[in-house]
Amino acid sequence: MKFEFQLLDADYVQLNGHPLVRIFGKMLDGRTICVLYEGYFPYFYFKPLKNLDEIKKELEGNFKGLVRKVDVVKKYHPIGYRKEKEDFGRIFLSDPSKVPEVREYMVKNKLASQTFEADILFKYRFLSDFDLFGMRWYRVDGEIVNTQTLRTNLVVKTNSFEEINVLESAPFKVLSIDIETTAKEGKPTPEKDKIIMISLAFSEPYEGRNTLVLVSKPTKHNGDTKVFKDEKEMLEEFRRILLTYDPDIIVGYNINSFDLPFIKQRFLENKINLFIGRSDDKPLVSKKMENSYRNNILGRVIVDIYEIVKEMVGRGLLRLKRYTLDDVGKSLIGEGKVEIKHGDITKIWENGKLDEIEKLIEYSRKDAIITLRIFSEKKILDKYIELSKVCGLLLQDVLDEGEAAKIECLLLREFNKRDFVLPNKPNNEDMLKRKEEKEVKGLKGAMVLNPKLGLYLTPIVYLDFKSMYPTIYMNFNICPTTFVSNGEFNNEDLIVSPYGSKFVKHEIRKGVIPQIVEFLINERDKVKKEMKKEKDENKKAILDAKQEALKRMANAFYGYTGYVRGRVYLLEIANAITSYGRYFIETTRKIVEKHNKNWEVIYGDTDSIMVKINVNDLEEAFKVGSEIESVINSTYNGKMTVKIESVFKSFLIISKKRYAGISVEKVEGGYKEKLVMKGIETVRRDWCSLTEKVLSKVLDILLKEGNTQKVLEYIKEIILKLERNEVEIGDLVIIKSLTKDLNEYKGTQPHVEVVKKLMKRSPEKIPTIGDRVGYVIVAGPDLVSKRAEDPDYVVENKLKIDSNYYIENQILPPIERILEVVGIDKKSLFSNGKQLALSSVLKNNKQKKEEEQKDFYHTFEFFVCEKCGKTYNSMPMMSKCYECGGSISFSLNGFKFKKVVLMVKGG
Amino acid sequence: MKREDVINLFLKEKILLSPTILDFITQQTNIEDFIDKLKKFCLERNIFFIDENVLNEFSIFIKKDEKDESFFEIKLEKPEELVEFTTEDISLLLRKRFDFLSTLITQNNQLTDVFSISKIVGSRKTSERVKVIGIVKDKTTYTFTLEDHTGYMVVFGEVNDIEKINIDEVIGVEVQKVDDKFKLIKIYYPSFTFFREIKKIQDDFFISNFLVKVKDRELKIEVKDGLKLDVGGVKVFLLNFDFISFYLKNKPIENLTLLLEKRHLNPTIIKDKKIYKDDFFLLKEIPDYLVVLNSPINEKKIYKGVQIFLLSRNSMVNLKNGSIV
Repeated sequence: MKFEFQLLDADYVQLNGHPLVRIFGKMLDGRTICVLYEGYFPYFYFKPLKNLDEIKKELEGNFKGLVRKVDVVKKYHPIGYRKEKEDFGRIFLSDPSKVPEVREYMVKNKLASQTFEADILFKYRFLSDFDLFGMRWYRVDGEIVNTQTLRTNLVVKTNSFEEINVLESAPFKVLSIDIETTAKEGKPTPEKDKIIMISLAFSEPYEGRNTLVLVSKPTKHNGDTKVFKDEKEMLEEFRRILLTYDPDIIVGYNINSFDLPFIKQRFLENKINLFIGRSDDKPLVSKKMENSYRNNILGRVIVDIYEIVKEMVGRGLLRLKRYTLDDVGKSLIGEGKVEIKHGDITKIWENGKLDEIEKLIEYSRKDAIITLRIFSEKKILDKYIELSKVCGLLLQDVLDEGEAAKIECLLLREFNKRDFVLPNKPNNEDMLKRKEEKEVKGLKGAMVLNPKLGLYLTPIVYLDFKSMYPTIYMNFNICPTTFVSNGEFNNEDLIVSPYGSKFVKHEIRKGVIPQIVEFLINERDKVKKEMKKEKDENKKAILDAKQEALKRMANAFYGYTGYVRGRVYLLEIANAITSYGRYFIETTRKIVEKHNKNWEVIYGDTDSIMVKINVNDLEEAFKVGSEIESVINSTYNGKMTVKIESVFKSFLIISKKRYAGISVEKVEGGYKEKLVMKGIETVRRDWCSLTEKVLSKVLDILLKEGNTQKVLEYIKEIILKLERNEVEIGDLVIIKSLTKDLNEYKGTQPHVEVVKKLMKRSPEKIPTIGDRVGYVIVAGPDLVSKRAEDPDYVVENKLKIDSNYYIENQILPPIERILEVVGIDKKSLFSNGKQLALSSVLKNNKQKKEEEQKDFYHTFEFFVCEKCGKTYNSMPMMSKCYECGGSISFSLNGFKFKKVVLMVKGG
Repeated sequence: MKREDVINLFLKEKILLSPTILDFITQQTNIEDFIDKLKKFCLERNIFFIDENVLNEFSIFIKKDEKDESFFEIKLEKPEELVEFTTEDISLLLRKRFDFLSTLITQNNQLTDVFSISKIVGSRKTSERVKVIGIVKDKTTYTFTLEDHTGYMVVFGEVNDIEKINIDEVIGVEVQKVDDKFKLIKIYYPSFTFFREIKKIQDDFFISNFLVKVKDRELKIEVKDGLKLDVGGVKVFLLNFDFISFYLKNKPIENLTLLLEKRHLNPTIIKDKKIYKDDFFLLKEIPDYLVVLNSPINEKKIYKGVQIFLLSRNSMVNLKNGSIV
């Protein structure tokens, strides 16, 4: 019988002394399937130090019944070009879990000098040898098997797999989970605290419900809530629902680091069976890693929306100030959480009235709903599914592992296809050697041309090198399999990189990595063409995710070659790649500037350059841009290609990797403008919203009008408003989270000081760990932290804001660099160039006028902080005290002043 | 002037002219001057017959000579002290200095992976070596403080290394975190390359403590601190020994080369408590000659193409051949 399914997961079990491979999948009609394969054994390669018969005899003596076969095969060594294949020993074992032990024994007892592919997970060994990729579709011909252990609709035994071409995914069932717990001492711990609620949201209705909240005590509830007498009963029901609903995908927000580890521990405490996957023999696995947890439920995929959102922010695909579900929900789907303070949950649960508990139930339910909505509406999984199809990793590993794992999964297949063996991952000793080598020889980075800082109000052409690093790999045949370290070759057979490392030419051997990269790029071009023809929006979205995945994989090779933990690592290759990159950027600059004196390269970074072209008309700018493109491309003659990425109508470069501009795109009937920012768009948590507004406005004025005078006037206006207390208090609130107990904080911090004040004034308002604390800085003589105050208290008591603090620490720092670059002196922000205490500029105070006369002297002794009194032998470059952030004055005989006026002869 | 007169003038020196050259000479406006120069040109080269080739060579020589005349147009640039300045003015000057020199440090040392100070100070990793660029803000026998746009850090090191550092200089350092402190491993300076266009003064050019003398021209100078000369494109930087003795200590030439490497001849602001317009002593361009006047001793050295002279009170140096008299 034939069965078709999408490959979701894989594992093996040891049965009767040999491994049984299990492939989990989902069929188009929604049924789940597990395909069994028998007769496949683990193996690895080695370089023997003894005769093979001796090796076999010794191993059989030490590992009874384990060694199935030892033979010799001819393979290519992966590192360094070698013309001929070499002899490698190959050993087959009957138990995959014993591979590490045998591998270590062979090296320690000098049976082998080195082993290869001896640390590949058995499931990936199988997938690679059978050319199976995660999330692709396969047809198997096999017989149905009856088994009690597996919890799939079908269990089929087969001995072959055939890939079939299906674009869409199977109809996955998704379950969103969110738990609420008590928290007796600040942060909840599963050893001491209990789960009080579990909220579930279903992608397909379960028993007629779209959502369900399980509550661990009897209370008022509606039809979509179930109450239980205690936590244990609730958890047992939760387990039952999991198994009957049988989701393919489980989603949550921070589910990996909180919900699942907590659930696991509570299951253990309550002695509940942890087998909640698609077999009875593998429990929920929850392992603590360095900074997070890794969880696994066999046959299901766990998706943590929090981790995905963080990755999106890291890649610049999303702008967020905070990662709370409330902020993420509002930002992505326009829906936030029910308002209940985190710290109030335990209080409500233990002492709360029925309607408060009811509100808590809805709060919990909403969390699960928001997470499911984000997952579904934003089609979170699409690109990961496509990545899985491209690199071969199972979907769970695509979500959990880094780029190196994706690359290595691909490398294993492609190396093996071409009869190369893959090295093991480096051990600690190898790592140390690699790190030392990196330190001694250095890994030179990509080229960043020194930017010509300033504001440009005439069009700037932005050109991009098309797939720079993949193109370098391909055109210069860079690969460990083509790398030449000795002098055996004539120069005409070699390609020498600007760094000096040598590779054989394509005609001698086309490198494996160049071939992989070429395939990925060509595939991407095909997919993009298909996309243009596709009318169905859903299919188009899938194709888009596919081409993104192909691009990401092609570009990931560059980072991999410099990765010291990689299996295939050669510093010479990483340096060769970047040396070509630097060469092309620098050469391109010379080509451009030599061709036309009116063309000036004002910035270049890694794989892009920006050219000032001295034309005023946009239409002309696009034409010139095309001309520049042709000039460069004809010079390189196919070795490298550039294309116009965009034309900027106006452009501001603040420093390396920090710029903003109005990018212009040709559309029907005219142009479409877009504000582009790099390096300055980062939203910092410790900025109040006034800062963001000022920054946006300043950029807006500069880029749209180029009017520095207007910028100056605008900032002066803001400064005056601050001085006059005319700014809305909401715009001045700074927010910081309380992440630990008050007594664990070292030193004074503003938000901690506010919490202490709240404790005295309004105990019912005290924030708890995890809560965000908002504060403003009021005027006064104390340290800044001590002058942090609750915004409500400030309004009620009409306290005065410390305008100086906001000007010096909130408004000016983010825009100072911008001001300098466009030639606005900070001095000119403070009336008529007299840099005195700001307040004195505005106050029409006789005493201040008298003080002004004493505000300069003819020399000084040293520099001093006005706030804390720290003295300096040298003026801090950023004009602020290192200790307290206060402003710096000159000092002479105990007097502090801001200006020195040198004695002029005769007066 | 008549043709016969022209012929006779040349015949006196036993020089013959071709007919076309004779025609050409008689058409010159400043004919006497032209004849003098042409005769001198031929006599110096033992040329006794002037044809078109000789005239071509002479024309080239004349242009160079005219240019040479303008080579000895000397431009002076004195340091201008700001009459009034604020703490902000100093910060701005230091930031500009930092921006300029940090780029050179990165470029000339081919540094990659330079971190900002806030990232290093905030990092939990230990035993890792990192590179940072900063301006020196303070120093003790064993430590110094570095500041960049993001913060400051204290670095400890060997006495000998720290002695060489001056406050308000911009340097790059490689440090290693050892128990929450940063240990100095290496220092990087802005530096400069030997592979640049080095210009030399072609004619006698004398400098002493009081004057500059070239050909028949004398210029009185008074160098209390510094003075830049541009001699037809050749850059000469003069300094007063007393003004920079603060940096020279007991190894003047060695410390002068170090100041060159640091691209600032007078970085420490609190030394003079003055601000010079455009950071006068910042070496945006490397001078071809560096002459320190009022020195206790005479000494000279060539460092990466820069000719350095220490000139005592009563001495004079000829920049053309480097001789001190």
